[in-house]
Amino acid sequence: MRRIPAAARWCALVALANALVWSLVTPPFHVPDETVHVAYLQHLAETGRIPNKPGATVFSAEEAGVLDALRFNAVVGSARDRTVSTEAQQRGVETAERAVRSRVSGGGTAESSSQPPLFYAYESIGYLASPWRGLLERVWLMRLMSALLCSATVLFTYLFLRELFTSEPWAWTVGALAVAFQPLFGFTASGITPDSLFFAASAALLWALARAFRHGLTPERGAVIGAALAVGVLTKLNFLPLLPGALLGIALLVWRERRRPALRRAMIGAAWACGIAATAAGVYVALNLLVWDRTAWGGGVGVAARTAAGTGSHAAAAVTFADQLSYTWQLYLPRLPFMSSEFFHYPGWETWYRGFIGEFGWLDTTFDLWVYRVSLVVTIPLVVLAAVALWRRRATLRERLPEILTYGTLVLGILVSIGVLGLRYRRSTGFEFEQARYILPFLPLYAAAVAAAAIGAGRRFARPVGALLVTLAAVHGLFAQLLVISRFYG
Amino acid sequence: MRVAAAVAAGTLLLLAALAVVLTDSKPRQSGSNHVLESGPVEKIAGDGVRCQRDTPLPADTDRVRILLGTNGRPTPSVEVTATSDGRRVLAGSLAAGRRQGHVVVPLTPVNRVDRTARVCVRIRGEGQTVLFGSHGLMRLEWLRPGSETWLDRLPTVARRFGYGKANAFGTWLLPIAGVVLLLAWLLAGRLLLRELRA
Repeated sequence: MRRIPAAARWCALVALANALVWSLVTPPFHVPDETVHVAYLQHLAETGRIPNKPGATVFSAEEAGVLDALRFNAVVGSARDRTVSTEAQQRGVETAERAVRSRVSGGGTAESSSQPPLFYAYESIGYLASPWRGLLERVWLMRLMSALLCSATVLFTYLFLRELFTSEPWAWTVGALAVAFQPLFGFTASGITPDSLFFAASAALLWALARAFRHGLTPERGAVIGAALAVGVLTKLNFLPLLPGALLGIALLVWRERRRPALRRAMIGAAWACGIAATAAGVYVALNLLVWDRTAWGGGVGVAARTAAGTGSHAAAAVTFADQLSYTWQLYLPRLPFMSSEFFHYPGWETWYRGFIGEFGWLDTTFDLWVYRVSLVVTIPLVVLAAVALWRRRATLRERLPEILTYGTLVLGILVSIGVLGLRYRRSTGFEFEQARYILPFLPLYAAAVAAAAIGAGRRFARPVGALLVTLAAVHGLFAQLLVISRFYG
Repeated sequence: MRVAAAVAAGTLLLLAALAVVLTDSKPRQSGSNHVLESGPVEKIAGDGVRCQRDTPLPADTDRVRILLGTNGRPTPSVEVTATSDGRRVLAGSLAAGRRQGHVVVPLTPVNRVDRTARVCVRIRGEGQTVLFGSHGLMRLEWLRPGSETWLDRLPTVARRFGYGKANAFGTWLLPIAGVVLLLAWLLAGRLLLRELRA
């Protein structure tokens, strides 16, 4: 800890405080899929087993009773309906909490049950250590544990920026605080969702790779890369698409040393990175096959999506490569004339931009449309300034091409995987799969863009612009919290 | 100095935006029966009545908003009554002649206590009137008296904020969350001033 700059620790503390506020602002279970994540971890904590009973009840009697008392099904998706708003309803919630109901009657498969157990095991510590027995108290305690992961994400973001912007220490604070206040991040990662640990593991991976690119790959740095990969793989299967980028990075780090004495050290580092990740993956696969009676990877997101939709494991219609290419292209870029239309809207705006600016609850809480439009007044200059900074430093960028290539492959891995899963989900359910939170593993790159925008303002204005951007991020975060408060308690 | 000015400018922007949002006055909801308006649930030809039992009725209510479809004709007259334990607890009516869509029926509260009640909507007019909701229930959205700003609503929001979650602080939970956020800002501001010093 002593090697971590004080400013990094303070940034992490800001993130923790902000996530703590989000954990109070968002009503229990109103973070996407929080209901099934709580079901998973309650089953794991109470029985020591992963929920894996197809056709059985997903929720324990206790969770089902609390969800009923909270009128969860009547409020979720209905932006004009509030959560508990009268004393009579509150008495109903208290009665449901006090009722002695089974905590082990769940265990059925849901969209979360194909996921690895690391995050749930981590949260189980909070569940089991809770001095309170009520589910709502435990939910809040587990959210607090998620808030700690938010601060870890911001800490790794700071450290990542330290490797990127070596001559502008002030930019590290700017980028890290911009992430700390980013509302979609605060809202999502303060909930009970494996995304919290997924984001932290991704940020750690980016930092570990950046550190190895800057200082060289050593056994110690390789082990850190391996540890980040292991945590990610054991947290959420959506992390798997990051593996090609990580492997490319490791290969480039070794290749870079091919004519230097450090080659042997780099190769040992690569072996550590790959070895730790492969061991974690191997243990997970073995446990799935030998102990948990699941498929090698536990099913995967595709199965999870079909479970959520209540369809069979092969319900998706056949997908051709051309379909896949067209869908994935249109998911991020404007449709080309020869492509058939895959969306009624432009996902670049509707899903990614608007989602990143703010869609909360189970996507049922949004700002008025004008807010998203006005936000462009900040976003467009920010992008232009970041581009200016990159142009000014094009010589440095050329020198760091292998590193940039690695980050590009990491991003591409996630983007393509979203397209692959999204098309299959759409074909089998008719619903959209994509959500802006799926790109949050790249928060450190967002932080880098914010820092670059400040630098792009030029030597004279860089720091004030950086301060202004952080202040705007804090304002953005506050209004997102007010939006959620008005939607659920107004 | 420039950094401090930038932080100050951002803070001023925040205060201005907060002032605009918190003083915006609108009719506010006291509650609803948590029914989605996903489709027609009752088609009434001419005169008719639709009643629903066990409808939650918040104490701070003096209007109800319902969705009426009339195929473009002016709306019929609407009477709403609520009875609990055989006693009338709310009643009100809206004269005919509005445009179809959401209509707000003013109500006279008899007893300001949260309760569940049997609510009846009586339609008097000509032609077909459609009531909307889902799962066989029409949606009833209760409104608080008059028009309120968020500042006016703060005590109600603070009370509701404390419901439905782990909370040892009652209505103080919202101010406590505010203080934690304020501390985060102060910490961030201090960091910016220290780290971005030229």
